[in-house]
Parts: sequence; structure tokens; C-alpha cells
Amino acid sequence: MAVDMTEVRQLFFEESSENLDVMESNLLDLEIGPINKELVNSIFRAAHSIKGGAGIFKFEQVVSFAHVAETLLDEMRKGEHLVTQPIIDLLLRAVDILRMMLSSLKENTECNWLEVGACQTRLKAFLKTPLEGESAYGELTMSGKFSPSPQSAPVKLPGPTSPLPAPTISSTPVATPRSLEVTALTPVAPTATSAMPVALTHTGAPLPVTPTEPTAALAETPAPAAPTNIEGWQIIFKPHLGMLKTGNDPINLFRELAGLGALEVKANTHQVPAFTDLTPHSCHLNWELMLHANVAKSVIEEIFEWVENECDLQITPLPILSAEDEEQTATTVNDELTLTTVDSDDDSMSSKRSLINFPPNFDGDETGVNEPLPNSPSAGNQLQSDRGDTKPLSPVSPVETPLLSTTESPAVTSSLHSLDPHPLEGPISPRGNSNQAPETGSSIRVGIDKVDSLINLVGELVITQSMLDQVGENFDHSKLSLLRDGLSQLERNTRELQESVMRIRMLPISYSFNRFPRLVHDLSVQLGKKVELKLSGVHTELDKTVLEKMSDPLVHLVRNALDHGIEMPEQRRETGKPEVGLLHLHAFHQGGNIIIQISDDGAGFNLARIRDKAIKQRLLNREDNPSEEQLYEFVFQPGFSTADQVSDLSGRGVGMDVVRRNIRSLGGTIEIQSKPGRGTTFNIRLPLTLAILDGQLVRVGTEIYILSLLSIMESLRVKPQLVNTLAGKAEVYKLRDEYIPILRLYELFDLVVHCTTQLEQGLLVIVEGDGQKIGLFVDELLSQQQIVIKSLESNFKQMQGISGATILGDGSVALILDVAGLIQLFHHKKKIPTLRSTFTLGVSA
Amino acid sequence: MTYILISDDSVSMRQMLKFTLAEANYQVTEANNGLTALELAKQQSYDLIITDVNMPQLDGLSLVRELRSLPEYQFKPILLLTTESDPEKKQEAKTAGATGWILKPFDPDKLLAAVRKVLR
Repeated sequence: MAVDMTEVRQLFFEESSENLDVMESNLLDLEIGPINKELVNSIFRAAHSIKGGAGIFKFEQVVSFAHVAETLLDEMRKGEHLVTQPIIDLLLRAVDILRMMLSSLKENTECNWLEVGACQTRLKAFLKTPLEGESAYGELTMSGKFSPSPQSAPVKLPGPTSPLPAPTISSTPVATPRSLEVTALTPVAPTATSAMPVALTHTGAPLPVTPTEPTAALAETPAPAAPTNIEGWQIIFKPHLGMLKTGNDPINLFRELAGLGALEVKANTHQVPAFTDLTPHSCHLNWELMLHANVAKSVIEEIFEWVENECDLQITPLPILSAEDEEQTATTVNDELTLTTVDSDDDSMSSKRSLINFPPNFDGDETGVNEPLPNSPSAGNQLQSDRGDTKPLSPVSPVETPLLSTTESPAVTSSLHSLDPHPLEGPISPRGNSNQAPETGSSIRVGIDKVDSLINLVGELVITQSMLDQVGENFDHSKLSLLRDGLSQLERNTRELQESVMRIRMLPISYSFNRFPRLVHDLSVQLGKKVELKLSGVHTELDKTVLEKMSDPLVHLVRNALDHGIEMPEQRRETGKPEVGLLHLHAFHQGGNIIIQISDDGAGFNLARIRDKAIKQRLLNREDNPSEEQLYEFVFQPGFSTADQVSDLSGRGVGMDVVRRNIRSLGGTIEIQSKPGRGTTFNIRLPLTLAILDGQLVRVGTEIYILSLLSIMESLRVKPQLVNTLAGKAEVYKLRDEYIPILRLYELFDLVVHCTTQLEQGLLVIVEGDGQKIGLFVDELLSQQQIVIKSLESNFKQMQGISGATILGDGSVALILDVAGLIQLFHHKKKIPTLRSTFTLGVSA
Repeated sequence: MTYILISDDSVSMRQMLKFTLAEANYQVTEANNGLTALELAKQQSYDLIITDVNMPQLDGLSLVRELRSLPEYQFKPILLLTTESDPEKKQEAKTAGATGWILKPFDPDKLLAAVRKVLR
């Protein structure tokens, strides 16, 4: 079967990960006490889906594990358990284990089987009723003897619990009537309208027997072992009147049987009422079938499995006949052949691997039999199987019959598959056992509405274009206003199209926020703190890349807030605060930015402590009097921590600098607001997208540079009397109460042509980066426009102070300035230490 | 052309069904829950419906009941995808009117065998 399983496999992993998220968030929503049926149901469904999918790919361990978890959930939804913290914790653990198993399968890496086993054992301990039919799921032996690779794990075969019944054959000849009342057998179809001939065998004659040639082939087949001394089976099949109402059609059953060997069908029309009383939808016929095939009883039973309770069924073995009889009957069979031989090549049904090897004309199409009415039962057709010269049939069908048995013992097939070292292997990159999806080849799910709006916009664009085409034809002055309209429409289309395309990359921040309930739950348990997590603005969308890269910084900030921010319950009580601390994650749009706020109502930053620490680390002089912002700036310094003790979670002083670096690499900023005893708020400002920025074009000489509008605080004409020079090195500008260093861009970039060098003739653009301000001296401000950022690094080496380039409307290239980089460059050139300079200036003012 | 409607809330399961059935030249339509399946079944006549049991909105057993109440599907084969092998669950399926069931996990051959068992 050339089904592309790689793709399905990939899909399964994505879907399972979503299902695990559902399980996790619903588990966290569960409240202690009676069962919330809806929640438990949805957790159950998710576990169930994972189990089902894992089964397809023969991930036996996942199936087995999920099965135990699912059983527990099933008991819960039946109300057999109350929700307790241990159950929630255990199920959360189970989610983690499943995640680990799936990720190790996906990445083809090792999995910690001991943990899996331990968790599975704990789950089992919770179960009220012991698991039944474990073998059906290829139960692992959990005795620590895990095989290293999931793909080649030995699967315990179902032991004596195997559902396969041993074929029992009564040695005594069965006293079944050899011939039925022949006279009663008249050709009547169950429906009055369809005149289907019921091809009946001759009666009274000895039963037709086929030579038992398939025994040789059978010797090779695994379980179920067919009895060797069985000539065939007699099946008495009396459907109940309503059997057809479940969509079961006897002819299909007979066809299945005929696939096993030669089949004789006798219809008994005794029960068929008079025409006037006939109910077309009831099954009035019953049958006696002779199957001449050396198969196990279970194979036949399985064919009738679906109608087990809708019929009376008797399956009795036919004893082997004497050689003489055999010969005689063999001739009879040949004589009464009514069907053509099998031509398996042109029959789609009888592909080599298919179970059913059935003559193509059995469906009645080719033998000229009227096709039965669509909904009518079509039993009793000319179902008389051939045997004489159907050589292709006999060797194939018995060999294939064991396939049927696999339904009863999936572990058999599973173990076979498990032996295959690389079943269904997709393109797997050897990666660590991480929860994160590999960056390469990742996909994105886009809502259909976004795609629709895109198509809609493209449609509008086409209309605009054809409109402009019309205007362009025989253009004269009278059409000028039409042209203007067209161009403005084009502009609108372009902008909308751009926004629409951008939106495709946008994902709601809930993708990132959703992991926090679990994190906060686990951390608060670990720390013994009581914390309520509030999420808001979860539908705020931001660029997928931004979202992914923000994940770690957010986790860090949340950990910090829990570890250092929110106090222990007693401490909170003492200070008159509610015991339960509040952690609030909030996302919203502001201007062209996304703001993410992480606020807690904890202790807040201890500024005195930061100051002491900074002095201790010689970042600050004792006599300095830094502002709050400047003190917070220390928090972002590498190796700076005010925590007295290094804990598991945080306090090592690595982190905040990394957090800020990550945010900066996304073109964002982070700032701290904190009130001692009242709490801390981190404000993270991120651009909507990484590909486009709102830029301010500035001219320096003949060059045009671009500044991000977000970094610009204000622009002003320089008043010469407010410019001071410090030690002949740097110029500063007194803006209100601040002294702002002046950076002459022409100087920095060594521009000489047509540059304004007189400060009062140019403009000072005050920009902010890294919490510091600087005044960029430029010749003039040009327009503001959206800039598509093109990376320079793929062709040139990275330049400090320049973050990229763009192509302007006239085709020329302009460099995009990186404010933070410029500030560093400036301090480096002027040999002024970054932080100290501003303090000194502040004091000297 | 034989039309089959499959109903399952799991995308991978649907894909798996679809690939396998399409490979065998069946025309497959997908529904991601019972309610959608019911709507689709009302719009067009399908020769076979394969549905999952556990689904949001409308579960598999209710879907079977709903379908059986429609004249069009009174006698059509409907197969349930189930992981439960216990007789009680099977009886429940039959009572609801299902033609039969396919035990998960299954491989493509097993699926096709089951499908061919109810389609001629």
C-alpha cells in the first residue's frame, strides 16, 4: 500500500501535541471535588485520539501508556473517582511522559523508559478495575527491561489470554441433514420487485467436495492453525427479520465466505410470506451454506462477527470424505460450474494483498443478473462458488486468511512491525529530546478566513490593474483624475495586501501563554506559594518568529516573578496582602507594537539592595545618585543578582541580560516598573513583525539613512547656547533637565560631501536605545514610510550601528540605523564608559 | 464511483483513512465531527459512512442513530471506528444501528477488508 505515511506521521505528531496541550490545560482547569464531566470528557477524548493515532504507527508503548491513562480518565468520567490533587498531578505527569515519548519517537532519540514505566505503574495503581485485555494493546513488560530503541522494542505476545479460540472439532460426525427440503427451495428474491434468480445447487446428490489441495500452502501459515482433518464447514444462517436495518447484507457475508474457498449456498424460502404481506425491508430468507475450505472456525465466525446478535448461526465442521466420494464429487463440481473462472488481473478486488479473492462476476454485473435495488437486500443471488479450475484461488486465499486473524491479535502484527528497524520513517533529524519543534521545515496553520481575505484582495488588485490599464489606453489630460483615483486605489490595495500577508504569519499569543498555567502550577507547588495566574489579551496576534523567540524570555520572567516577586503566604499575610499572589500576563496592541506585560503583586525590586550590589560590583560609586531607571538598568547586567541564595529556578544572575538580549534581537525593548511591597511590572515592547518597520528617512549630506520611528523621541533645532563640550571629547545638548550626547552622523560615517557641519543648520534627532538617549545630528528629516528590511549579513559582514538596508522608491539603497549599536559605537569612540557617563553628567548638572 | 464519508475529529486518522481509501479508488469526503458528517450526509448520498465514536459535537453512536432515521441511510452500511473491544460496546454499536466496527489500531489492509465486506 503506497500510502504516504510520512506525511500522516508528521500530522499525527502535530495533532498529538495539540491534544496534549488540550489535556494539560483542561487538567489545570479541573477543580478538586466532583467531576466536571465536560472537562474530563475532553481530556479523555484527547488521550483517546493519541492512542488511536499511535496505534496506526505501531507506537506500541505510546498506545499501552495512553491506554492506562485513558482507562483512568474513563473511570473518572463514570464518576468512580473524585478529582484530587494527586490525580491531577499524576495525569499531568502522564501528559509529560506522553510528550516525551512522542518527541523521542519523532526525533528518533532515546526515551527514558524507566520514567515511563514508573508513571504507568502509578497510573495503574489508581485504577479501580484491573485492566482487562491488556494483551490486545501489546502490553509492555514493565519490569525495567525496556529495549533501548522504541522501534525495536520487544512486544509481549498475548499469552494464554489470546482471544483466538482453539479450533475445537468434534470427532463425532455431525448429524446434520444432508439435504434440505428440496421442494421448498424456489427462486424467490427477498424483494418482490427484484427478480433475482437464486441459483441453487442440485439437491439430493452427494455433497460436492473439493480436493483438499491447499493443505500444503497452509502449512506455512501461522496461527490460527487450521484443523487438518476438516473438509469444510456447514453454516446454518438464519438472519433475524431486522438484520438488514443495520446495513448488513447477506450477500456480502457470502462473498467473504466464498473468498475462503468453494461455497455452496442454499436459500430456504419457507419463511417468505405471500406477496401481499411481504415487507421488502425484512429478511425472510435463511440459508444453509457449505464452505469447502480448510479454515479455522474463528475465521468464519469473524465474517459473521457483525451480525452475531442478529441471526441464528450454527457452524459445524464437515468430516473429511472418503477418497472415492471425493473423486465423484469433484466431477460433480466441474459439471455444475456456472461461473466463469477467476481472472484476478483485471479485478480490482483481488489484488494480491487483498483478503477477498472473488470472481468479478459475483456482483451480478457480468452475468446479466439485474442489479438489485439500491437499498434492497440482495441476498440469495447466484451464490454458488466454483472450485474446479480456479487454480489462482486456492493457493492465494488460504495463505491470506491469517490476515483476518490479526484483527484478533494485533500484537502479532505489531511485533512483526516492531522488528523492522525503521518502519515508516520520516525525515528525522537527530536532535535533542526537546519539547520544541524543529525550526526547519516547520509549518504554520493559517485560518481559512485569512486565506480568503488574501484571495479577495488579490481580486481587488486585479480589478485596479485593469482599471489602470483602461486609463493608460489613449491617455490624455482629461483622464488625470481617473489616474489619481486608480493610483490611490492601488496604494490601498497594496497596503491591505501587505497587511493581509503579514497576518498569515501572525499567531495569537495564546500559543505562548498557554504553557504558563502548567508552569505556574508546578512552580507554586514546588515553592509552596499560592499564586493565581491571570491571562488576558490572549488573542493578540504577533509574528510567529517573534512568538517563538519570546518563549524563553517569558518563561524566565514568569519564573523570576514566582521565585523572587511573590512572597510566601505567611509573609503576604503579615503585610496585609491576600495570601494568594497574583501574576498577570497581559498582551495588547499599542501603536505599531505589541506590548506584553508581566506583572505581579509581590515584593517589588529592592532598589537599595540593587544599589549596594552595584557598588559592591564596582558598577557604581558610593557617592553616585542614580535614578530609578538607571538602577533597573543594573538588573540587566550580566552576572548581576540581588538574590541572596541561588535557587534551582533563578538567582544565578544569568538571565535578565539574556532576556533583554533576546528581546533586543527582535527589535523590542523591555522596561521595569516596580514599587517596593506592591509588585513589579515588566513591559515588553515588540514590533508586530520583523520584516517591515515604520521608518523615518533622514538625510546626511547626499546619503539617506533610515531610523526606526519607534526609537525616535523627538527632533529639534539646535540652540547653540545649549551645547556643551565635555573635556574636548564629547558634545552634549541640554534638553530640559537632561544632558544628551550628540553624535554627528557625518563624522561617524566619514561623509565629507555637502554635509552640514554647523549644528544650528541641521537637526538633532533624539533617539533612545537600551535605555539611553542620544542626539543624532542630521541635515534634514525626509518622509516617513514603511520599510521592508533586507538583511545585509548574507552578503556583507555585520556592521555595528547598521541593522540592515532597504530599497527606496527610486531604486536606491538606504541603510537602516541601529540606535543601540550607534550608542555603543559612540561610547567606544569617545572612550566614555557607558553607564558612568550619564551619571556623572547627571550629577554635574 | 463509490462514495465514502469519513468522520473523525483526528486529522491524522482522517488522513490515514483518506489515503488508504483513495488508493483503493474510493471517493472520500471528510468530516471533523459528527454534526458536520450528518450535514454532509444529508447533502449527498454516500455508499458507506465510517465514523469515529468519540467526537465533539455529535458522537459516533448518535450520528449512527441520526443517519438511520433518514430514509436514505436506512440500509446503508455504517462502520464505527472503535478501540473498545468489549462486547458491551459492540452491542451498543449494533443497537444504535451500526453495520459493524473496525477496531483501532488497524492497518490499511484491515481497513480495506472491512470496507469491502460491506460494499459490493
